[in-house]
Amino acid sequence: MSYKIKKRMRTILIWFATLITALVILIPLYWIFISSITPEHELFTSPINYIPLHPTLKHYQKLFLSLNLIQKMFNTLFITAFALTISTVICLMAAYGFNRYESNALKIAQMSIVFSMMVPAIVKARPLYTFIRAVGLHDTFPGLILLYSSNLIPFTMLILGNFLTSIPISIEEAAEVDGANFFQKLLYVTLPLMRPAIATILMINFITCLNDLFTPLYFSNSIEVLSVAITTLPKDDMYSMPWELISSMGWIIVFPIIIFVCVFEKNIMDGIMAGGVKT
Amino acid sequence: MEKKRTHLWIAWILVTPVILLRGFTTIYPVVTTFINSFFDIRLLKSPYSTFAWLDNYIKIFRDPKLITSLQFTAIFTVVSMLFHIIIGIALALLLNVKFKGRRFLRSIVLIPWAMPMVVVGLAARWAFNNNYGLINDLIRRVISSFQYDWLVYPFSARISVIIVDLWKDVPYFAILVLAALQFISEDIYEAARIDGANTIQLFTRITVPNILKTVLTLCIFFTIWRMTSFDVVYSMTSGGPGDSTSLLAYRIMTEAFTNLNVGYASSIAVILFLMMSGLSCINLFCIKKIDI
Repeated sequence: MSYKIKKRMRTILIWFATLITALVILIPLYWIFISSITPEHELFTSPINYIPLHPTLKHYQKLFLSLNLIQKMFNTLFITAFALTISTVICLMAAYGFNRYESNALKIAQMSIVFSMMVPAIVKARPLYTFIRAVGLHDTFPGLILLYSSNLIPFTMLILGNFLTSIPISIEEAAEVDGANFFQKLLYVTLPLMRPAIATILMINFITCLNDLFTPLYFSNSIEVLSVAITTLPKDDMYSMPWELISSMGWIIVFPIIIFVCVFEKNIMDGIMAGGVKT
Repeated sequence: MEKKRTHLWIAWILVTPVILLRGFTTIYPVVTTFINSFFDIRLLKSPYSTFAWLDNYIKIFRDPKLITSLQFTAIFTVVSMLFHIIIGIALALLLNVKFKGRRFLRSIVLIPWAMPMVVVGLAARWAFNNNYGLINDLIRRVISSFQYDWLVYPFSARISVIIVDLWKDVPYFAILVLAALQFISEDIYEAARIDGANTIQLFTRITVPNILKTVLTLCIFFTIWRMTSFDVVYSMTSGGPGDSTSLLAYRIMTEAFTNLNVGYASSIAVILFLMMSGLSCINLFCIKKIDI
């Protein structure tokens, strides 16, 4: 009997903790959402109406029609798509080189690349800015794409490298015996086996690109991505804050992320943990 | 079969793009920052730089703004890490429980991690507003006469920044701790339970020793990220009120890109880099000790 009570207590405790966690995370999100559909003047009321009295979509309308949000979305997706492709391709090549061949120099190079993750962006920013400007890549798509790709490299290398080590070399050797040349072996044997790792890393890198504020903030002026654009929304005067626009734009960024995360919860979780344990 | 030791040129061709890209965006700038830190480069004054020995470094300790930044960075890092460990491990334990709400909980916990810090920071700027913010509104549901402007006073602004940082990053910490928890087999707990261990003993004697190494390793990364946090302050307080919440990273960027005081900014960056490396080495040393 007492065991049963204990078990019930445990279940209640667990659900209580879950509820608290969910509330702490979801209430702010819900609040951003309702703010985005509340007319401007009603935002300046206290207490807050948690069920909006006069829901409106005019803030969204303003974002799309007069603030050119489509262009900013395009910029973000364009840069992200290229950065993901470039970083994945070159990291796949490098992971193969590092994990299928052995020499001390290679090992040192691999370690340096993974450890370069620890070098913070602020230490590099100013010289990098001068360099990017000097070669004419400042405020251009190629420049941003290169910088974004570079940011993705260490983590991508880590995940792909770990995964590749878990694929036995004997599979490749079997293909070689069957007469496959180097490229056939890579393309038809190794690459298909890497598919789950590639999918995971693409998802995590997508989020990383979307969240990056530092790179676009300092390395471009006219090409605005979403994370920078939300800080430059027009305001009435220096001290006020266009909360109605920020909340609706915030929701435009956050809503797809919520859906994305809920759908791919398992893959993302596995990906994050795969990177964590080995580091 | 073994890894190949022949045809190494193929390997070098394969790794060249990564090394080139990473080299140009890491090694070159780090070396330049280090060199710049010994020069007097003030682009607002003149485009030329002069060698300044250690002047920039000496200036750091005489600059009250910088001392405030150093102080807050230290407080921010220590307090935030402390709560990361406490809440993070608790949340990880919860995530590891097998129950019906597990998938729901895991999806929810990923949301703060996946959200851009700018969005969180800007929302927090409004949320901590005295009259119309979410935080005070929730408090007023309990204490109806509550009035407090969080971001106006240095002390509470600092607390707010730390709270926002925790909201965003603790879930991520918890997920990484969870990775270690999943490696502990249920059998060990079962055996201990049969031997009469209570819940607290299970936690301190089995769980903690098994995740300690992972937690310490995570601390290296999370400490570095705290010490170099930029987004949270940029979007939430812009370093204010006064300079009370300007973290070192924010200070460096202001010096380098707004005041165009490149030499000075570089020397702060070097100091930060050295502090980070020092802490990481101490941490690594601890991890090694545990291994034996």
